[in-house]
Amino acid sequence: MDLNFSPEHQAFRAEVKSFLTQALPDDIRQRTLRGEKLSKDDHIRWQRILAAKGWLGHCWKKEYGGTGWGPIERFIWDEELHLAGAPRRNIPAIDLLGPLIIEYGTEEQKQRFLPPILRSEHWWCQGFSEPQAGSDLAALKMRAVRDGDHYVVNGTKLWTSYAQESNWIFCLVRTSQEQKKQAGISYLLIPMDQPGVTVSPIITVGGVHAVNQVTIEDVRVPVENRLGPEGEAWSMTQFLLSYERIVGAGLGASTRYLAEARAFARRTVRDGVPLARTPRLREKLAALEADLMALKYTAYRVLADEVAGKAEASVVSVVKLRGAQLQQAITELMFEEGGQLSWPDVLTLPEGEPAVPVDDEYHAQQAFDRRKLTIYGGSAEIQKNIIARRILRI
Amino acid sequence: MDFDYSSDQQMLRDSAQRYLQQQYSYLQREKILRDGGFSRTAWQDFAGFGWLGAALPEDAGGFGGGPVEAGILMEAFGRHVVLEPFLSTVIVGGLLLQQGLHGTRRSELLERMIGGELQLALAALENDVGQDFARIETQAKATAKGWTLRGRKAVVANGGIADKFFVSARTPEGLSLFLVDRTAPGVKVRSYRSNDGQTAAELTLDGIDVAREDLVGPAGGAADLLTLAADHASAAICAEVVGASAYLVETTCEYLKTREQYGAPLAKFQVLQHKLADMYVQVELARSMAHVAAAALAKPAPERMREVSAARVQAIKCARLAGREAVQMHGGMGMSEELDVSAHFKRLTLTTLQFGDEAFHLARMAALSE
Repeated sequence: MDLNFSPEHQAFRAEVKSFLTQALPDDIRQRTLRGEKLSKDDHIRWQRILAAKGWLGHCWKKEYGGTGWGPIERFIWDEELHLAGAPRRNIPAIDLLGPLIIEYGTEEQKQRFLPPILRSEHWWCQGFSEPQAGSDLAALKMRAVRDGDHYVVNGTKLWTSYAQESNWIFCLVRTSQEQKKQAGISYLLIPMDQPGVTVSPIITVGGVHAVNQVTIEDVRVPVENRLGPEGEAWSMTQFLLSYERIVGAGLGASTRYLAEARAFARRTVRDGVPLARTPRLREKLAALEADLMALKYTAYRVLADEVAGKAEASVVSVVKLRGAQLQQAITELMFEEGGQLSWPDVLTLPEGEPAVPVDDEYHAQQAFDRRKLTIYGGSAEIQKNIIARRILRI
Repeated sequence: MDFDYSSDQQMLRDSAQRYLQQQYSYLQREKILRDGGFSRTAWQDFAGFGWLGAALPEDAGGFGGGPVEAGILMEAFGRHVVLEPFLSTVIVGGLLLQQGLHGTRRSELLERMIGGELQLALAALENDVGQDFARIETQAKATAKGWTLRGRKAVVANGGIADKFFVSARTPEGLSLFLVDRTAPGVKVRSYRSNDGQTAAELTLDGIDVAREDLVGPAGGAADLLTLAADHASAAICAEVVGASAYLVETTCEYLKTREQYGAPLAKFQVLQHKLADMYVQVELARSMAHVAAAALAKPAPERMREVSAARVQAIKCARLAGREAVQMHGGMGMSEELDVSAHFKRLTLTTLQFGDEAFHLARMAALSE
C-alpha cells in the first residue's frame, strides 16, 4: 500500500501548477477568487490559452485534439484548476459532450463538432432536466418526432446552466413512447440561434443568473444531429453521470475555500481578537480540515480503484455527497463568522470606496448559491439512495 | 400557567394575518422589492391599524401592549417575509426613544413614529464583526451647544430610508448614544440593500453637530441601553423565525404532496417525511422559546439576558434547519427566486447573524450561568 501519487504524477502536478501560475491572467484569477461574475469573453480568453497549450480537451483522446490523459492526470488537473482560481470552462462541451462524441459519434460528427469546441466557437449547454423530470430524469417529456430526414422537437428544458451564453444545446429527447421510461430516449444536437428556441432566465437565490428555462417549439433537427443510436441515450447518459460525480468531489474547490477561510480568519477581528486566534474558530477550521482530509483520501481511493478498473458506483456517491456538504460547510462558516460583513447584497453595493472589504463581499451570495451543490447532478437524497440500493442492496 | 392569547391579542393576530394574506402576497412583495424594498402604503396601513404603537405602553403614546403584541406581529411578518422595518423602527427605535429621551422631545418623536411618519435605524457596530457595542471608534466631543460626532458605520440596517439614526460614539464618560438626523450637515449616507431585500446603508459622520437634547440616555450609559434594545430585537426575531419557519413547514408539505417523481408524490418518501418532522420539532421548540424571550424582557438584566440568549440559540437552530431543508426539499425550485421559499431562506439565514449569532448567545449564556 502506498498513499502517495507516483513520482511521475507528482512531477505532472508540479508542471500543471507552474503552467497555471504563469498562464492564468491575474485579473481573471482575482475576480474568480472573489466570486465575481466573469463575462463570456473572459471565459473564452482563458479557454484559448488552454487550447494553445493543448490542454483544453483534458479528457479527450489525442487524435481529436485532446491531451490523452488518464484518470489520475485528469483528477490532478481538476484539483489544480480550482486551487489556482481558474474560472469555469465550457464544462458541458469539454467534460460531457466531447467524451460522448468521441465514444459514440460518427466520424463526420467528430470532425464537425469537436474542433469548434476547442476553438471556443461552439459554446454548449446541456438539456437534461425538465419541469417534471428532475431527480427522476427518465421521466423527461421533450418529444422528437421523425419527419423524413428530420426530427420535429417540442418541449421544455429546465435549470439549463449558462444557456444564455450558449449557441448549441445537446438534449435528451423522447423519440418513441416505450413502456419502460428509460427506453426511447435519444440525444439530439440542436443549434440555439434559430426560431423556436427560447431561453428564459431563472434568477436563483442571491440574485444569480446561471440557470435558464429553454423551450423548443417545432424545431426541425436533421437526423445527422442525432448522437448515438436512436433510443440508446439512457445508457450513454449513465456513462456520463458517473463521470460528473467524481468531478463533483470538488476537492480543489474545498481545499481553496478552506485556505480562503483561513485567510478570512486572519484578517477579520471579532471582539478585539483576530478570528484566527479564537479557540472556537480554530477548532471549527481544524474539524473542516479533518473532513477535507477524509474526503481527499476517499476520493483518491475511488481514483485508484478506477485506474485498477474496479470503481464501485457507491463509493463515488460517498465522495459526491461529502464533497458537496463540505463545500457548503466551509462557505457557511465564512458567512456566519463574517457577522455584519455578510449583511450587504453584493449586487447593490455603491460604487467607489468599498463599504465592506472587497474580499468579504461575496460570503452571503456564495453561502446561498452553494445550496445547489446538494441538489444538482444527483441530489444528496439520490446519492444516499444509490448507496443504500446499489451498494448495501437494501 | 396559560400560553393562550387574550381576546385582544387574538384580534391583533387575526387582523395581521388577514391583512397580510390579502395585501402582502409574494407577488406584491416582489413589486415592493423592485421598488426599493419599502412600501410607504403598507407602512401607512400598519400605522392605521395601530400596529406601530401596539407594543408600546400608554405613557409612550402606545396602545398598552408589550412584547407579546410585538411577537404576534413579528410572527405574522415572518410568515410573509415582510420587508418593512418593524424591527428597526418600532422594536429597536421605539424602545430607544421611549427609554432614552425625555419630555416633549420623547413624546413628539414617539407620536411621529407611531403615526408612521418617522423611520429609525440603529448605527452601533463598526469594523469588528462581533456584537460588543463598546468596540467602536466613532468619537463624540462636547461643544458649547452639544456634541460633535466623527466616525463611520458601514452596515446600518434600514439605513436606506431612516430619517434618524441612533449613533453610538465614545465620550469621556464612556459609550454614549446620539440621535442624528439624516439631513444634518456632514452626514453622508450611501445606501444599498441587505441580503434579505431590506434597505441598508453606510453612514459617515464628518464632524457633525448634535444638539444636547439628542443625547439618548445618560452620557456614558449607552451600553446597558443598547443591550436592552438588542434583547428586545432578539425576542422579536425569535417570533419572526417561528412565523417564517412554520410557513416553510406548511408550504414544503404541500409541495411534496403535489410534486411527483418516480411515479409517486415526494410526500410518500419516508426520508422526506422525517426531514419535515425534524423541521416541525425545531419550530415547536422555537415557538416555546419565543414566548420565554418575550416574558424575559420584563425581568432583571442577568435573567433577561440568559433567557433571551437561550431563545435565540433555539431560534438560530430552527432558522438554519428550516431554511436549508425547505430549499433542499424543493430542489431546483427552492433555489429559484420565483418561489417564496428562497425569500424565507434568505431572511431566516440573515436572522442567525442579527443582534448576536450563535457563538455570541452561547458565550453570554455561559458567562451568566457560571
